[in-house]
Amino acid sequence: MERVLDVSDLEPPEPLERILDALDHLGAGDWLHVRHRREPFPLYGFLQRLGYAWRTERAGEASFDILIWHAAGQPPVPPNGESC
Amino acid sequence: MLSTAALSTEQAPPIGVPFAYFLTAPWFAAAAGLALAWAGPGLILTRWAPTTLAATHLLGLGFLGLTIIGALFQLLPVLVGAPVPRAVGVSRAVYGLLVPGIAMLVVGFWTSGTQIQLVALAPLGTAVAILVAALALALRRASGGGEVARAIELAMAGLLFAVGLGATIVLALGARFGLMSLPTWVDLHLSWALLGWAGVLLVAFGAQLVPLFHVTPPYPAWFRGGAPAVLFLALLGETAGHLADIALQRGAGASLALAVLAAFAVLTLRLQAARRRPVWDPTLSFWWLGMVCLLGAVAGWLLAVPHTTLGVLVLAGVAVAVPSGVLYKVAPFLAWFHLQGEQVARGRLDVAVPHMKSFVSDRAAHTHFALHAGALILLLAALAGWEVLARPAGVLFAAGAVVQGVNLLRVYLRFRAVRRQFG
Repeated sequence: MERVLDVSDLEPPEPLERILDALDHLGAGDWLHVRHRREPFPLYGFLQRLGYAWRTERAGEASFDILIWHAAGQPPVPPNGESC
Repeated sequence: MLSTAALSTEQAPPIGVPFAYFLTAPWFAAAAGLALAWAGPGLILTRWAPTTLAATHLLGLGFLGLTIIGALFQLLPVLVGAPVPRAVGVSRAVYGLLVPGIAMLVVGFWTSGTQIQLVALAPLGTAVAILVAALALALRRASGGGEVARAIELAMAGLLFAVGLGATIVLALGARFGLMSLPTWVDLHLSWALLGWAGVLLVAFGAQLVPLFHVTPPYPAWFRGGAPAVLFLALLGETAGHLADIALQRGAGASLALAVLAAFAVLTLRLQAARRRPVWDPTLSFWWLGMVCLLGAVAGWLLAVPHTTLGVLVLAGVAVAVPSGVLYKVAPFLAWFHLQGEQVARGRLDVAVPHMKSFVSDRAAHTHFALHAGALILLLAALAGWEVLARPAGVLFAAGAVVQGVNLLRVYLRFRAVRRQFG
């Protein structure tokens, strides 16, 4: 199941704090869909250490979608069946 | 853009890498203030006095150079996803060469000791060569932030021009070989140092850091992508105009460069006024002071005010104020970020990581701002004819830098105290 978290309007370090908080409550098989205004490079080291996988896609000039899931689980599959 | 496992390695350098530079830089600014307090109005009334050369290099190389280099080690991974290779060894080598090199150069200027100046070129040149090589390697691996990566490349070229011109001037004066026109070489050295190196980075980093830290709308894409390159090309045009002695080309290049900087200042003030959280903080105070001084310098250039006034506006008003403000965001963020990383790595959720804003109080940062702004007002008054205010300006300037040094040291000591709790 997808959990959506929009951190676009938050100043550092709140986006990172909110994402790490949300991951604490991420169930097995769920994934977190983060909306951010920039690519969060500092986040990636944390995700790797904590055992998560991720994909980042640019959705606009100041808009990024980051999908995060348990590395041991399956990558998220959107409703239309295409790979993220 | 798609990012996957290629970015999964630990990106940030150890906190000691940028902090070594950040903790040292304010003391060079303090030394510049003390130099003014000691030497008096003679230091700001001409740009040719030995004490003036010493003070400008204390600020330009000692404060601004160290701050920028420390920031580059830290910001490359954040902004372009490319850490500097062997960051610890490279940063130690650059720091170990640069700091004594700057000190030697400044002593050489202060005492008019051309031999000391010549000797200083060796560590300074080696440090710049190592830095540029390491940054070039990092940028080759950059996975994102193309416009920032290109701007850093231009700034590196600007740095090489500035250092090359400066070294040529020192060599010419030391070895007593003639330069066609010393003032022209000095003007070009100043242009490339302040606009080609620091100016390009100000525009490029500002366009990233202002929206990041103040949650403003982004700078227009045309400005982010084009401004650093236009600024660089304008300086090339100005330089060619100097070399070919074509006044029109010189003027056109300089005008274009100033137009870019004026546009940056206006955009920055407008975007910060439109920030999503209308909270005022010390970083904004420094940014606004810096942008007002930048606009003042552009207007002053158009009105042909004396070089010394332009120098004070650009060096003390922009080149010290803006990085000072940014440091009040970057330094606490780094402390928080590394502690958060430590907490995750050790699984010590029982140790609370302090909130970023608790590392340095707004009051302490605003004390620094008040001293710095006060020094700037006195400096401009001294240049306007109240020369008696030059020494008090130096004292205030030094006091502001000392407060800054103490504020940054407190951030680092708090970081270490919390890190010890992780065992």
